[in-house]
Amino acid sequence: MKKTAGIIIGVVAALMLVSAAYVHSMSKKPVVKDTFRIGMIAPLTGDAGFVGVGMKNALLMAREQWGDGKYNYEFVFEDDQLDPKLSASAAQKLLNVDKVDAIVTVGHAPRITVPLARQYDIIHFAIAVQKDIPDGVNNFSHWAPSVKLNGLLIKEMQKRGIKKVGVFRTTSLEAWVAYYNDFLEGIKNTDIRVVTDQTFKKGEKDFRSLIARAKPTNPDIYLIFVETPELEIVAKQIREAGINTPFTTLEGFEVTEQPELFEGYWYVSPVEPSEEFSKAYEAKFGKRPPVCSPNAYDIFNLLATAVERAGSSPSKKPATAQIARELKKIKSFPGALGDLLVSDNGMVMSGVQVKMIKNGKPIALEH
Amino acid sequence: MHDETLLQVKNISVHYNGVRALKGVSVRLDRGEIVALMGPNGAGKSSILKSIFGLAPVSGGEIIFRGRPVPPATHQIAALGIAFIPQGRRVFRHLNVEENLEMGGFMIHDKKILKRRIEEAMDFFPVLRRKRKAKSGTLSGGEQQMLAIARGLVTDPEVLLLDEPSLGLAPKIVKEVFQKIRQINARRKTTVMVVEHNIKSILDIADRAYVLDKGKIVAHGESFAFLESDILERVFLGGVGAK
Amino acid sequence: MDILTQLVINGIIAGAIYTLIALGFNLIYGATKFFNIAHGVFAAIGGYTVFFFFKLSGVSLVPSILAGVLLAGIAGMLSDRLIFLPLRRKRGSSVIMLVASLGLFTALQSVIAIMFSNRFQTLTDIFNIQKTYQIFSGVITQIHIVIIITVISLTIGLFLMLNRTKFGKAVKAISDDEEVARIIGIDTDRVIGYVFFIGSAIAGLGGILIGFDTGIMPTMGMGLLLKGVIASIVGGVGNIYGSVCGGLLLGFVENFGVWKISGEWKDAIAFGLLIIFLLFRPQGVLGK
Repeated sequence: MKKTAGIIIGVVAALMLVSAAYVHSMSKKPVVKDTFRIGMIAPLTGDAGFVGVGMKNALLMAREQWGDGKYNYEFVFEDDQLDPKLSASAAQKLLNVDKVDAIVTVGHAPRITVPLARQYDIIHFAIAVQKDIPDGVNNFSHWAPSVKLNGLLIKEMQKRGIKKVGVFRTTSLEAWVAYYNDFLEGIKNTDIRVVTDQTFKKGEKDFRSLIARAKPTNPDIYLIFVETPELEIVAKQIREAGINTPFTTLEGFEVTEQPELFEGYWYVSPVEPSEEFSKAYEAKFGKRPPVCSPNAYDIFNLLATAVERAGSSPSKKPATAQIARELKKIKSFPGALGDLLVSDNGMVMSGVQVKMIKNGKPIALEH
Repeated sequence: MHDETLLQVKNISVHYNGVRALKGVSVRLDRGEIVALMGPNGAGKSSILKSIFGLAPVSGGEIIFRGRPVPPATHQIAALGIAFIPQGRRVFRHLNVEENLEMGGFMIHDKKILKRRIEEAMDFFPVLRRKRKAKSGTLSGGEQQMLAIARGLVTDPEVLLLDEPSLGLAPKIVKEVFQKIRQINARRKTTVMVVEHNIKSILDIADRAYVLDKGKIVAHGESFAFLESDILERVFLGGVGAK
Repeated sequence: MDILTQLVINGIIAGAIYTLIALGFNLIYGATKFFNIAHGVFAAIGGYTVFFFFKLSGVSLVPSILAGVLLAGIAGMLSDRLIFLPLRRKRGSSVIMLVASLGLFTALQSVIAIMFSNRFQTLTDIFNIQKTYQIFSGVITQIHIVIIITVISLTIGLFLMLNRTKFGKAVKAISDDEEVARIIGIDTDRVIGYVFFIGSAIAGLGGILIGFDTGIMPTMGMGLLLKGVIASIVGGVGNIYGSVCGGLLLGFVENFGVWKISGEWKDAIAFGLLIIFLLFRPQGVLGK
């Protein structure tokens, strides 16, 4: 009798110990969330440094707002100074050393990252205008499409009775070449003509003889397709040549350090980001959000949404193919750049608008 | 007759990149003499003159001029009263004759003295006066050699060092050059040390001579003695340098 | 014809800028037979010194420019004393000297980038649109007139220095035969040091003037150096008149070249000119 009681007590005690231990371990053991690593290749220093810094800030802000998600999101920021050699080495580092799951790019980096995204099977989100970058499988893009930008540009030119356009453009960056080709396409069925087309390499500082060539053609407006510092130097030298014709561009004017050069001139750019985004950015970082930052913000939100929808368990992040599938399912999404739609070929399109520099600041024109 | 020793090279060694050019060489130059340094190619004769002027890497030994050690920096030596006419007729090719002579007198600050010395130099070498405005690169070999020597004379040096003045010159010109050297010594009382491979010409005017072979002095004495012995023959044909 | 006059003016302006860089480069090369790649960065040092004093610290214009020119000159002289002279003493080969100058160039350029960031900067407060003048049927700005006058004055000044002063004659002697120059009593190390000072100061002045015209960037040195070298070789290396000749020739060829060919070919035209000269007349137009 005592022996049986002893055994029963012993078993119960053992059971109690075991279950206590089990319950203890269950409650102590944290859920190990998997980490989704996002790399970024953008200029963080140099003339275009404000772009990369804006993107970085936007990504950080987006993550902070996202809060406690299904997964942990980690960033790795690489500075390529808009130099393709550095873009390539940054991409290699992100893929081989940091082993990122996704990369966000701008400038020269998109073209370089496209094949690598396929090779390493990661998600690549480019802030780029070229139509052939997104493929809907590994590569996605988020930018106002060139056709849309040029369409509005041409419409505004027609509205203002412009017939002769003088072009000063760089051939060193794909985006500007893409813009120009779409511009030419767009004016085909209008009475707008390009009366002079002056091309130059980025890094050029002396445009005076190109300007001398352009002067006699007497354009109604000068279309300048290049960014800082060539943008300002071209404008200044055109003025110094005694030409008072107005300038216009796509995107360019709002990112200049010398807005006085473009005072009173209209241009076309992607829509302003939402009030909500701009206010939050300014509150957190003390200045207005620069170009590309709303795109980066949207990209994080789109990605995180797709990743968390695709992934079943927090301890295992989903595969790229699943993420891509979820991305393409998104047909209406509240973003900093309006209601976003991801097309089947991986393009996220945002809106465009006409702006003007007034008192040194870009303002939207009534449309 | 020659009792004051002006220049003494004592026991110097010279190495170029580990290759020994001179080992423990000593020569002396007394006032008013003409001394010859002779020997086959590569014997190290030029290295002696170069080391006096800080143009050769000297390890060991000393060089004394007028009782004081010679400074190692080349540009400080001209001021002591020693002029060096290096091998190869090195005139300033882009300057004319007169300008070359002016450069020779770079250390002279008094313009009148400089002018006088230049005139004296041209007295000595009349061909230079005739061609005073000609670019020195256009002169013949002999004329360039005269110019190089004249340039050295502008400072009225006590000692004149010449490295192979006859190199590449026609025999007739060589004769002229050696005549001039003798005149410089006789009339201006300049002490001369000459490196030469043209034995006959130099022994004609030299008081004493040293013979070098493979970096060492193998013979030394009054010049007439050399004309009578066979030491030169042995050195130049067989090599007598101590192993 | 309107456009031709403007092209001629542009050619002279560009030519003057290239001559400015070539003058200093040729002076140093003539004396030392040394291809000083670092020459370009002294232009940047000049420009950034003025940037620091004039734009950032509110010092007035003339002292800032003086500071820029002096600092560039001193930097050049120091680089000779600390790097190139020791290498010359060790009879370093020209390859070693070239590599050393390239290393110095890169190091100094990086320092400038770290101190002032990579960005393009202007030397004037507001992006000054220059006062312009009409010449015949073309236009020229104030700063360009200053540049042209500066180049003319410098050329005359250098001519007088080289031919009428004792120092200048010493430089010419050293250019011909440095060893013989030493033998006749010239302290060649000291003279060469001063040559570096003058040449680099001229480069610094060039950087300052270019900075006022277009702007400055830490990497501005290499582009300027390349054009300066082309001007030197085309005109005749080691020769100050060669600098002027080569600079003008390069300026004209570039500007008339883009008249008929598109602007992207500018650099290709410049290097094409260089290659033609290297192949057919390496001593340059005025070379011996």
